[in-house]
Amino acid sequence: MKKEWLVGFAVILAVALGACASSTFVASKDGKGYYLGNSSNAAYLMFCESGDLQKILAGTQLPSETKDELYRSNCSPERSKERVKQVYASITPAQRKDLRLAFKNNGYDINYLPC
Amino acid sequence: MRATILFLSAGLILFFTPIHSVHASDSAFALGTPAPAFELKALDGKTVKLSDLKGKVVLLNFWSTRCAPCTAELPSLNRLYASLRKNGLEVCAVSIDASDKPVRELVQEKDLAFTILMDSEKETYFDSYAAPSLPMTFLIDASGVIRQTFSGPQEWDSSTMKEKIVQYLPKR
Repeated sequence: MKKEWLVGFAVILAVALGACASSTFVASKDGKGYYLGNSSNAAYLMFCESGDLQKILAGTQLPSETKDELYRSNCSPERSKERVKQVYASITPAQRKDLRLAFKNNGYDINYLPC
Repeated sequence: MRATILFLSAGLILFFTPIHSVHASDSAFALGTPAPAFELKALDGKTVKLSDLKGKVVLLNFWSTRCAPCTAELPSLNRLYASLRKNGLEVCAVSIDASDKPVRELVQEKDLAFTILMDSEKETYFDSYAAPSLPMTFLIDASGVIRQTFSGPQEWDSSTMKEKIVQYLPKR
């Protein structure tokens, strides 16, 4: 009985954590997706080690400081979802379009994952 | 047995939630600023512009058929629309699905009465509204100003939520 209560609590906690998780957008490719700014090794391999994020940013007309900031927020020890979100919110609609299309041109989709 | 099912449910929720329910604590827009204009195709082929809805309170909801929390909140959004439509509430649910086929199927299955718009390229969702969450909803007042944002799924027809929305509807 006690065990069931614990498991029930785990379910509630899982829902609560999921519903409250603060994050920024997900970029997906080949069925795998990660939050930008994610500190996981898998995200680092996908965006950074592959050179993809560098190519994506090079394909935009974003100011170099913005590119550097986005690169640092994803591929340096200072990785930060919050910082990515701030940059995303601070750029203009035209710059967001530029960024979205650059992801698309490199085989990524934003906030849309195949199930 | 029950414990195993519950354990598996917890695992599944943990596995799916971070991917399909993308949350953020804010958007690019401060509350009280004008909502960005948009012009999107509805499922019935008509073009809908935000400017066409001036004078109505608009709930602009971004969603996708592949986002479980998004589809889960649609029935309560439908009930809210049914109860407040006559008071001047307009609900525009903007799908970011790549194709309208699954959207049509879901709309039929859930018998959704509000306006469904397609934004497959995410020009409105990503570029204009900078919405990092899915689902994410903007409450736009009758003069076109963003009054509230809601990140993640909501119980739209709850009394608390109705109170939040009704305050912006025209007084009768």
